[in-house]
Amino acid sequence: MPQRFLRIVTARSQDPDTAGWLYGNVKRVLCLLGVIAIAGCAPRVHAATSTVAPEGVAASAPAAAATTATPDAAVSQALNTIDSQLSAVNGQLNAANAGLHTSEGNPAQ
Amino acid sequence: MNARTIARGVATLTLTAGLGLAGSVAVDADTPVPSPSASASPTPTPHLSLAALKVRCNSAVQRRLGTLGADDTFVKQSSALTSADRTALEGQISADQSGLTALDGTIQADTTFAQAHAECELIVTDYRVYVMEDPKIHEVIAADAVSNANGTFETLIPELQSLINASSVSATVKAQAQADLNDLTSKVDASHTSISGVTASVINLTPAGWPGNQVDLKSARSNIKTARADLTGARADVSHILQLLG
Repeated sequence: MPQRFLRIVTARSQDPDTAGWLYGNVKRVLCLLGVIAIAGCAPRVHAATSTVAPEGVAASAPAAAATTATPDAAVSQALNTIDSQLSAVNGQLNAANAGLHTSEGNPAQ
Repeated sequence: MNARTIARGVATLTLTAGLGLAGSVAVDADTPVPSPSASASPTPTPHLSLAALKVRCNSAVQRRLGTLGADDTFVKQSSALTSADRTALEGQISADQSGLTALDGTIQADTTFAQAHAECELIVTDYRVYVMEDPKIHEVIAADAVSNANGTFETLIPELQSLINASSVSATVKAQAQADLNDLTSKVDASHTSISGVTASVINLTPAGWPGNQVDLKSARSNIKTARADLTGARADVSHILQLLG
């Protein structure tokens, strides 16, 4: 197997794209060996699964920024959105609470 | 948006803390808190001149218009509201603004103290701006924001499942992460249940139903708080899952 790999490398040595081709294959081999940290081969998320919606936008509407996101990026974006949405809930709930502890008074008296 | 939300949150937290110490606060604090049947009470012996009463009534109207104006801005700018809820709230706010402005005009044109007194009381009884309209608006926005957060979590759940499935952590750690994800899913489901019907239960409340409809406002607040607690727990689950997966 290693000899065959080297033969292929030698045969492709005149190819102007050899460097890129070699890089891709070395990365692929490293990924197969599980050396993910070096090769950076974490699986990409298909665009169809990365539809995290910003606050106030229907979840079914694909978010443009997420279409090329890695899972980590998509999750981070979703968490930012969720934090913003929960912050809105907190603010509004506190405001409503203030109203429920208020009495109108009577300006006529 | 975030800065405004934070600023508003800080302001309301401060106010809430103050209320916690002081109890119920009358908005027209220079006057006694009215009984529920205040509008039916006989006209008191004038201790104010008609002109002074008109000034007081105008001031009460202006304060309420200020609150409604701020609410209107918030409704227009909120990214949490659904289009239908935004339209409904804007219509209600606009009707209140027009009605209060017209009522103020009527009061200012009154020629007797009794007339002005009776109409001045309508500023409270016909609008309930502070005790009903304002909290109702905030509850609708909060409920819609909970629904939006539910939707975001639902989008996030498959992303997290993919991360867990693809993770190279040990089977034990993977099982812990999966347990967290299952807990997260059940919390989001619970939030869905809590928030279901909340907006519909309050958005069409009217001053005519006061004080009976105060129960609806309090129930809605309770449901929103329950949903918020579930989503806060779900948010913690996400953090723990990411921590487990490294």
